[in-house]
Amino acid sequence: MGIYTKLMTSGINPIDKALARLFYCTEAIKHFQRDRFFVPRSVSIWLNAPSEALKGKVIYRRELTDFDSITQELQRKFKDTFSRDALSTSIVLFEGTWHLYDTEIAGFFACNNYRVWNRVYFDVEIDTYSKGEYGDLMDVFLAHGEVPELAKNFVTYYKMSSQNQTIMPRFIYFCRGVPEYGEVEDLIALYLRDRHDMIRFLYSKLRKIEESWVKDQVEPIDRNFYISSLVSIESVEKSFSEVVKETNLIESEGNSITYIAQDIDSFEKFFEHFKNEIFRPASKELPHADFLKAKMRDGLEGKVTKTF
Amino acid sequence: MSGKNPMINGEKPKEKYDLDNVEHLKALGLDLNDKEEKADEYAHYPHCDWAVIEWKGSAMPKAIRQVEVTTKKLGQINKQVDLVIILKKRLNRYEQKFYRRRNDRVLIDLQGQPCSVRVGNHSINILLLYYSEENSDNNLVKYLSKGEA
Repeated sequence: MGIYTKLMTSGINPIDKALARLFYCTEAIKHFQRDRFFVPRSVSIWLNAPSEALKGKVIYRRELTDFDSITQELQRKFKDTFSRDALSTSIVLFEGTWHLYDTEIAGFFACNNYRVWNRVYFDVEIDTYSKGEYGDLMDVFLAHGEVPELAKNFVTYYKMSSQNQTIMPRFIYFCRGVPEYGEVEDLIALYLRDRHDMIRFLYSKLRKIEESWVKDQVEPIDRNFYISSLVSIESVEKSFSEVVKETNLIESEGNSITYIAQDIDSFEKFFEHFKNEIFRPASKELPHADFLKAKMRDGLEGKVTKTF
Repeated sequence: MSGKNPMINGEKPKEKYDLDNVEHLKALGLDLNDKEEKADEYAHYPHCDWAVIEWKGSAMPKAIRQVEVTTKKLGQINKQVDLVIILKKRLNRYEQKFYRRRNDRVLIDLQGQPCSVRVGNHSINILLLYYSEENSDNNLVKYLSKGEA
């Protein structure tokens, strides 16, 4: 697929959220425009969905002759003209042409203000339309072995751009197919705040797998307690670094952290190794769900006996 | 384009136009270029079915926009379109909440209406097939036998 950004927007009002999405979307366009990778052609605002076939309705469309002035016009629209309903069901779609290596491909940048849409396709979505052998933007960069450069440059640019912003990126997925929190298949690179965040991400994947020890020994423990306890164990840090090396992931640290796959299945291997070398041994001595239930029963029955 | 065409009523297409190929676009008289979103193929099946096919529907909205633009442009030059097909590996957990398949039509759960492309005064439903079903004509046969296409 492409590049998906999830922003930290909880507790923020809809207008500021929409403006932040627009900011990160236009910054991303500027980043790719700088090297003439992407030339924007038009911008449209849709309500409900970005296509008539999906029962969406276009309410604004402009050719992008002057990118900055149209961006300002969109900001004004969000602040002054749009009703709350229109704002919260809108999707802003910038379309244009990607010039990647020897190929010209149509593509788009989208700000997904519509909450229903935003849950599936995140806050800012960047991609190409499919063409020939390339299904998406990641296919093109993978074919040329340039995903690490793409991810590093993009993340660096986003971090610089976000310096004066109150709303920051929470996750950036570089992925084939539509990304899903806790899903490692098709993931090519992932930006998050720190290793703690990565463990949360992997924990989410762990909870989806059908293995009895997960159901019996991990599920009964509170998620936050399980993760923070794991993080506080010194040896986890060392094992984490070893698993990163073993699975051919690049870990690029700074104020935040970016993981980049060197093999197509690096993230899948990373999860498997992490599960077997950290999650499973850490959970081995945890009480089983049945034991906990029995203890609860004992406690209650003891209490009942005492009463009588 | 990614592989074998889906079979319809057990038949493979007799005529195919690769919409990434300039010569094929010229032969069709279709005004589409690399700067616009477009589907991968326009194919003619026996029994007079013309299909617009998108092979790599990695995310539904973009695949839908691609088939929608192509179908409308074909409609503008009076080219027949009977079927609009998106082939995809799978729908992820979140997309499954959005789109539902019924008789192979992509349905939008939010409004319970079939997802369709409007050309002139008629609508063509968009069909969703998974790669694993590429060679299986069962679903499309069922769909067509109901006379809904």
